[in-house]
Amino acid sequence: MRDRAWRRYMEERVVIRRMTRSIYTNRWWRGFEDVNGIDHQRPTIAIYIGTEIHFRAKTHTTTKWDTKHKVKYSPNKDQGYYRDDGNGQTREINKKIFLRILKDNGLK
Amino acid sequence: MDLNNLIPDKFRSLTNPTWIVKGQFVMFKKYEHIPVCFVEDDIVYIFLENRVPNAIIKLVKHLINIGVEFYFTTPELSNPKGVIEENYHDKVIKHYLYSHAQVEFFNGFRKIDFDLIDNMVKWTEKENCFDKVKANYESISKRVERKEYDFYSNNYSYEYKDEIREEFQSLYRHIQISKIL
Repeated sequence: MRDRAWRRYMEERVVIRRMTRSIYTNRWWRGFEDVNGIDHQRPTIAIYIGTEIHFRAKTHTTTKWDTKHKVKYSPNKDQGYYRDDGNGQTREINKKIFLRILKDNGLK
Repeated sequence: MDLNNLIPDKFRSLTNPTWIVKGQFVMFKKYEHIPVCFVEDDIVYIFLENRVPNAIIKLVKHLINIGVEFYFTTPELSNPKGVIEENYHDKVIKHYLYSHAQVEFFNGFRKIDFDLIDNMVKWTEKENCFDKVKANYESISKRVERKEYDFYSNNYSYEYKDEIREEFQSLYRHIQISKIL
């Protein structure tokens, strides 16, 4: 059953894996300050929660190599990670234009 | 006091593994089980965990509803290493003030009409350590007021929000008023 709980579990698994990798690759000679303002010499996964490393590990991109730069869950998902919105056809720009038209006509 | 009663009603079920009781702690699961509170002499002590602010706010709301006496403490106490006894009061007061400066707790406690500072003053009266509040307030206040100057745009940027910084300017007066009342 690939329901919401399953998707959350899969996403958590990726986040944990990325944070674990950070534990082994990063060294904090002066100690690592967690989100509670407490210093730790050897951080664990639980200590990373809420810090910049945790947010960086949250998966907004896919884990496969060939689709690494594809952004998930976005209406602009066919765009690359660094978006080229040069054609002006993105949802955000269209929304701005639409709001401007509403304002010009006194509807908002 | 049964620790299972401290878990908010909505989350207390056999199928929900997010809130559990393990040993002397109530724990909340976020990647790992994080200790949230424990009971000592019929008083509940909540760890002011900035890692799981929403869970803490829900727990506080639940404890207010069931009318249990509770205070907060530093998450360092959940570590088996513990805290040096001489620094215990300083650490707890500092953590109270530090958490008050965090946006999640600042807005969350305001939403449920809970006064964290008043709770801190009550705790200091209970432990007879009100004299340590001022020094800790000054050190946290310095941290909250921390700013950086950008030479090119001639602007100062602050780490904490304006609302929180304004609150901290008059916070010591608020503490003193809570002490008198």
